[in-house]
Amino acid sequence: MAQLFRPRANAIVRLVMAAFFATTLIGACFAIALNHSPYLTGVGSTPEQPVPFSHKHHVGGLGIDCRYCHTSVEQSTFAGLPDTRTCMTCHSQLWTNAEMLEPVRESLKRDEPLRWQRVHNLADYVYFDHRAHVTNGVGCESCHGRVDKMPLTSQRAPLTMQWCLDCHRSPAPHLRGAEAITAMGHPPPDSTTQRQLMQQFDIEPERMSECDVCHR
Amino acid sequence: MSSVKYWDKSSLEEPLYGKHGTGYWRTLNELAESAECGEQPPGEFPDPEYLQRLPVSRRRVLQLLGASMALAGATACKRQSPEDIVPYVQRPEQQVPGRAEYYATSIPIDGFAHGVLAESHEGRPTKLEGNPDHPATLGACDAVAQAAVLSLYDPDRSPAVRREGTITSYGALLETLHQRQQQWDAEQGRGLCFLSRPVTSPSELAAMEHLRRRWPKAQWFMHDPLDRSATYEGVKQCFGSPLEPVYQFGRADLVLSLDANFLQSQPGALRYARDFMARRKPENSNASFARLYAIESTPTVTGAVAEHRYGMPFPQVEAASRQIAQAMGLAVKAPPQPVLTDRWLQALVEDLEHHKGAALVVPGDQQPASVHAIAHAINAALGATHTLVEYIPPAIGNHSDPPLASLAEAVSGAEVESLVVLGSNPVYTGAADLDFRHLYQRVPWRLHWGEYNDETGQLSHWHVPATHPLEAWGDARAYDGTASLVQPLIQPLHEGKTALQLLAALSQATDERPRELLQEYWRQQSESETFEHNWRRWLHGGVIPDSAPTPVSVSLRASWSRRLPEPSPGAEALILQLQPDVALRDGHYANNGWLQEMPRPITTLTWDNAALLSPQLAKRYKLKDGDIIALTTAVGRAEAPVYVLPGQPEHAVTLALGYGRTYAGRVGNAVGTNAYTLRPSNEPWATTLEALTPTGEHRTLALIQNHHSIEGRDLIRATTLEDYRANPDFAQHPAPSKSLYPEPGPPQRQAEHAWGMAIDLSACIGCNACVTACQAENNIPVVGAEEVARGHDMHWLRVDRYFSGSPDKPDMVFQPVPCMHCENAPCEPVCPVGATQHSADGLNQMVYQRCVGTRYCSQNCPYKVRRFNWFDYTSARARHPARPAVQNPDVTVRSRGVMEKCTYCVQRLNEATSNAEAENRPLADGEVRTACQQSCPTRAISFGDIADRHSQVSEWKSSPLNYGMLEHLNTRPRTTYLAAVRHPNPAMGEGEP
Repeated sequence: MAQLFRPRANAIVRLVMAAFFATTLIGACFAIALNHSPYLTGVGSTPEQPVPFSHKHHVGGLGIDCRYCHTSVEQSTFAGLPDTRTCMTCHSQLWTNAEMLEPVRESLKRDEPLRWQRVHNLADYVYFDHRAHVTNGVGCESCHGRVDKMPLTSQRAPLTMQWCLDCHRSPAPHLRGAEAITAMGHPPPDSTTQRQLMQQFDIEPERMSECDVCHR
Repeated sequence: MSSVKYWDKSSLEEPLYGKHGTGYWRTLNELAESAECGEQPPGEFPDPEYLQRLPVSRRRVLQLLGASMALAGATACKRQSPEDIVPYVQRPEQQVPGRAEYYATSIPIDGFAHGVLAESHEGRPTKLEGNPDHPATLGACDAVAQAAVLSLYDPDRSPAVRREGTITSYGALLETLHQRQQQWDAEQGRGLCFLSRPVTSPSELAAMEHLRRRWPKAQWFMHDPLDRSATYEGVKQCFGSPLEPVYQFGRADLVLSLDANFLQSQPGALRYARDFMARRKPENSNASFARLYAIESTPTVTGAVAEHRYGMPFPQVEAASRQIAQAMGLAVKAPPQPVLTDRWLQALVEDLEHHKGAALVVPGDQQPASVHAIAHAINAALGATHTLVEYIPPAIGNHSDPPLASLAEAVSGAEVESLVVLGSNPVYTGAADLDFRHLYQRVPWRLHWGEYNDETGQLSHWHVPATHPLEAWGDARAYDGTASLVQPLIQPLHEGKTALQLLAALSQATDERPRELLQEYWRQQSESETFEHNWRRWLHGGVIPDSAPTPVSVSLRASWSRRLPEPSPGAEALILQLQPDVALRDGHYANNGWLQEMPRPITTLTWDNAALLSPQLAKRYKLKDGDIIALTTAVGRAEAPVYVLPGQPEHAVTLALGYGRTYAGRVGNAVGTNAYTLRPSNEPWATTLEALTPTGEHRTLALIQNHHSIEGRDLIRATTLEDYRANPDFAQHPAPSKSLYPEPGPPQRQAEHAWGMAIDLSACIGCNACVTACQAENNIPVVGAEEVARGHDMHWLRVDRYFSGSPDKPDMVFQPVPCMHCENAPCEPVCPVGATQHSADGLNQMVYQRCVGTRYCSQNCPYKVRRFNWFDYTSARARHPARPAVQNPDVTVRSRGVMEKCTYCVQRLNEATSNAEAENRPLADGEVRTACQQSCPTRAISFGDIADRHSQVSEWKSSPLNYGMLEHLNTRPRTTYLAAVRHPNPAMGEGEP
């Protein structure tokens, strides 16, 4: 009986197998890269807002504290967005005719809220708690970046589970004192301060990676 | 191989002591099987021929599985869709976005106020809990009140004013009313009739009184399908005036129920259940343990709790009460035939005499006036009057108005020109012989005000939508007469009008503001200078203090027994007994999915009202569960499926009211059988069944109980108080000492708390309030009858009901079964993707996002407490779409293909621990309460930190009654049970019920 396969068949099989593994490997690398790419995580994205609000001007320039507008950040899971009245505390006196602020005046006049676009959009199955972070030494800057340098607000952190866990597993380098929670450009703590802060806020990282801390 | 000895059989058997011989069974089939001993359970693998016949081949399934798995990942390849954040224009003062607010209000059920605290998220009510300051609830909440929040968002509620079916404006109605008023004024209201539901609201009664005075010739009728007139009639026979009895179970050592389901179905049931079950604490060796005797026509939760339950057809209850009265020396004519056995009667009467001053007889709301009269007379003889039973002026202010039958007569006599129907649905709930559907259409002008454009609304010239209690200003009285306010949590979602608004329109033809109308009434009741202050206090507390009427002093009239009717000879015929449905009441709540799917206590039936038959009767007619029978009474015929219920009296068939609606809405239409078509107006609760004919048809009943087989395991432990005192450790079975597997060590991580739960089986009355509370808290979907019948019910908590003893006189025990949060959880190691994990504080966590739906965990769970989303039960395409507005924003809404289960309300745990941390204080015991625990009327559930030796749950767990279910499996459940203890009368003897 003649040979079913010629010697060349071996080469073809090897080639096909190599191509298969290579494709799988490249595909997997591509998938992982895609998953961490700004395209999917949204890092750097700057959604268009009804009013081109500048944190750079308000925070960096005027030095308004974050909590002046995001009032519930220390009491609730949700940091809170300022109501139209809050904007109008100043803008009923300043820039009263600026075209840029027309939507704000319109909102007050018509009693219709402004519709802002969410910049930091967590998955719906993640229950993030602002209060738990800002009352335990995690500053605004740690997740939101240097908003005092953002003319338009954009996303700075990837907000992936890996990124959350990095800090939940080793929070010490990301901590700061209660007085500096809303500060921008705060230097990272040295190792002594880290230990002190961990003690002061009574942080126990071993419990912070339980599933039900964020998912329920 | 024989040299390898994995275990020694005898050593394993010993720890399993008590596995058999407990004698509990859940269904008659199970009992029959254990008697036959050894019918094999169906095999693991189906017959190959069966596989061949399947429309989809096994290979095809695998192909599809592979393809869907490959494609499943692709859905993640996109960014999250953008979201808006919409702040307020002006934020309400003190509101913190993201934090729930609580308001005290009341939900009227059958007219009686149930005080609740409504949880509101950014102005959106999502959950109702009992108001601890309200005397009718004391913090508990029954299923019907819980479910009111779902009805608020019911898209089938009537949205607009309609004139002959066409949508019109409220203004158009006011115009018509204006013209009508002139005509009614001219004739002092002649030809004008009002038909109202039972009303306890003081302001509404005042507005009605105003109309009565304005049109003195107008006629007022009151229609209560759950007719309680016998209650007032009976009291009147004894004491001369119609009064409402209010019972003080907290002072009773012995209670006899004469067909009264006072633990679940009477006004005040929540309070009664709390008071009575608090008197039955076995641990408390100093206090006495209250005993309950129940004579009842249909098995209810009250009978299940009773030490001695005597089942008999409805008409015989009167004979039994005569026997008891006579044995106690009251001058009552004896029944022609005794119904109670001498021994039972003697033991009962001796016990009653022995407990004089602490014994109480409670007649059932549905029983005739004579039973009430006899019960009150016995209470007087026992010295219970004024101490254990007080009498107050009826909270229902219009109880003396003539009933629907009188209205029917007036319509037949062409006396009725205009008819205003206030919140009632007589076309559906009218007795069959009145034929109100046709009579109603003979009235020349008909106006209907109700939450739904129901059967009556459809046939009316005008239909005005009513507001839901959560969007209305109003008031109502509780069972004891305490007035409480109803305040809105939200603006009316539709064009609903409150009762006061409608009555104002009838009187002045103007559209008034509901808040002002209510305030106007209460301003008159309060001193004007303090009114504003009081008003705020009342709204805040939910109760108007000191508004309960003082009990009336009564004395038994000498002639009371002469007013009793002649004792009727015991009927030999079959009796049809009607009863209010525990979930749907008279049918008003038929369009509520939570209530339709709530397993009815005792039967565990959902989405249906089966005819309850005794095993003997079913045997005689060769009927089994689900067989359709035709029932014929003197006034009508209806078909219903059979449910064979152990404990049902042999010659009585029971059918619940409230089903078979035609205009309830998408959920409630055509569910079950309309029992009103069998109901004669003169015998509303029991009538002779002229024929019972099997039709030969069959339908599968949507039952919960049969889903998970007991297989003879030792799940329930119960004993008598005597045995418990003699042997307190009876529930402690030897713990296993050997395991086939290496034991997991103590958790590596440090835990601050150790969560645990204990459930007191002595206190559980099986009312299922916890099941609905869990459903509301945890966004549990409604799946529908078909899915329930397939075993796909989604309730995280089920209340198992066990029978023991003989099928005709069984004892019953209830066992709520949530996730056990086993320390050694069998579900965890089998998950291939790690979707279920153990937390250091003892929670068995379920991560929905990781779950790929292998269902291995559920297979490996010995308690069968995991639920799988077989289909999409929540989206808009589902059979019963979830209503996003009612969902708890703190809990994930699960999608298809995901396993879920009880989380110990982890969202509440997280919130409470986070609050304590923010306030820099330790978490207090009792600060976190799970939804089931909170709603429980009898406080049968305790939850807390078992690492804290002083917490309530630790104390419960240190009781000798504490045991873990299936602990011989070495799962080490965190949820444990306190064995049930009963206190039977030793004089009753064996074989007596």
